[in-house]
Amino acid sequence: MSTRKPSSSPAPGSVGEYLRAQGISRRGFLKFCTATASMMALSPAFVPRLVEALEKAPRPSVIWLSFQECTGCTESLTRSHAPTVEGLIFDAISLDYHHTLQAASGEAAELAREEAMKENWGKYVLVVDGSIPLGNPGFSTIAGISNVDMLMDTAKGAAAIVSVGTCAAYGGLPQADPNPTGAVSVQDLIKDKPIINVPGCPPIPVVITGVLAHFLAFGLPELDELNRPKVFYGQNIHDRCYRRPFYERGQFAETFDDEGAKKGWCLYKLGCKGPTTYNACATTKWNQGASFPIESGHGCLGCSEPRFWDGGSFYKALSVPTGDLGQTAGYALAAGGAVGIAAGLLARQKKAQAVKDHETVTVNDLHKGEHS
Amino acid sequence: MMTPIEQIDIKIEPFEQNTGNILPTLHQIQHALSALLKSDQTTSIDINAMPFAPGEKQTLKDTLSTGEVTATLNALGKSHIYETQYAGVWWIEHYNSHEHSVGQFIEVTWIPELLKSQAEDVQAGLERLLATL
Repeated sequence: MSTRKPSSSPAPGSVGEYLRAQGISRRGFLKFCTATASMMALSPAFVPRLVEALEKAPRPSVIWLSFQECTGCTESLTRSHAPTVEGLIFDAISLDYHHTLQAASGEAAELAREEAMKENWGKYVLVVDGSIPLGNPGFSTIAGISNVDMLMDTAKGAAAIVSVGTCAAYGGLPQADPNPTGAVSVQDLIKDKPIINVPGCPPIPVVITGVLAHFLAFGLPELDELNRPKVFYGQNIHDRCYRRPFYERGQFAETFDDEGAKKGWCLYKLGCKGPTTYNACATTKWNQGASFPIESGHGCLGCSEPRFWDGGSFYKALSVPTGDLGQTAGYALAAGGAVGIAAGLLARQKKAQAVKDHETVTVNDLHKGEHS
Repeated sequence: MMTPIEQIDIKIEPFEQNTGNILPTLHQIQHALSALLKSDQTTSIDINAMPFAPGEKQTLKDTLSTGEVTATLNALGKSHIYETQYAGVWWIEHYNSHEHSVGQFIEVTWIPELLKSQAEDVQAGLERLLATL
């Protein structure tokens, strides 16, 4: 006959302790970890590892800066069906500054940001949504501080930066031709910190929280060449699309109301950007997993890819970016000079050290750990 | 407040041509059942991680059908857990407190872990009971 003993208490100040303090039973915690593993696109076999990691993971301080954005990314996250797994993950972090959500404003809010930075120097996670205007610092300010100054100041003590949404990740809509504000992305300006891009217009809410959960439990996720977490952005929409078999058979909708459209055939000829878009929409889906654009009969716009607004018509089959790239490239180049951070050797060394401090964990590493 | 999708009275008709992912899933379940019998190895399949055409998930559910055991868990919202017509194959669907689905799994196991009493909860219950005596 087997005996079972309670596991040791969660570490003080940890996510596990926080959840237990909310009156969540061990069974509830297991359910939470199961749903979180699914959200993080991890195999259910990793649930025990996640349970163990979250029991010990300290609640991180998070500073969230919003620049040239539409608040869609914050809406995407906060309008998700709280209180639930995403809600709990979001609650489990210590959100010390978010000017859209916090009650304080003006100097009091900025004081909260400065205090959080001081208390958690080198450890806090900086989340950014929105692009940064370099054309004129007055285009976008918070408490009289320009976006570029606030970003550079806050980034100094961050352990890692999460660029939420296509605007923060690549410049997004504000950067669309002719880029009137001289918008640049976070990674155009910061070269010495690990940056995780979570693009999308907006990103899928569970992907935002999934990235935070991954950072909480296992550190930095493995990234692709555009600094996107591979667990969510490793496959393109087309490869995971349930309409893919129609593409293989050459069955395409030619208009939005023809027989092909009614039968749910492939939307490639109607401009679907699924083949060149890397995101988790086809499996994670939207609105509590109910559907995603292609399932609703509309092609993918490619919103998690750089310069998707300048890719020509959304309804033209796979077009390439048009317009004058010279101006935006100029701003991106100026970004390096303006803030005195070229992608030089020192910056690369600092980034390498920061990445080392928060080692990247791949699914294979987790798998190895499972059997070690 | 927005009406949850589950409360809208619609029926999703399966496509005449589907992704073809149901049959491989059934084969995976068959291998998992063999492994359970042979080496006590349990398997969990995340249904939401697989691309299914509209209606296909329901077809899979209908194929597996229901068996002898049905349970409802109340922890962070409800979870519906039932054994399918194939003993050892469990369908688990987790909901949040707004009754929105947050995860669907097939577990091939003797009994799903979540149905067992957890030692930590037993300990907490014992302490509560002792306090009342």
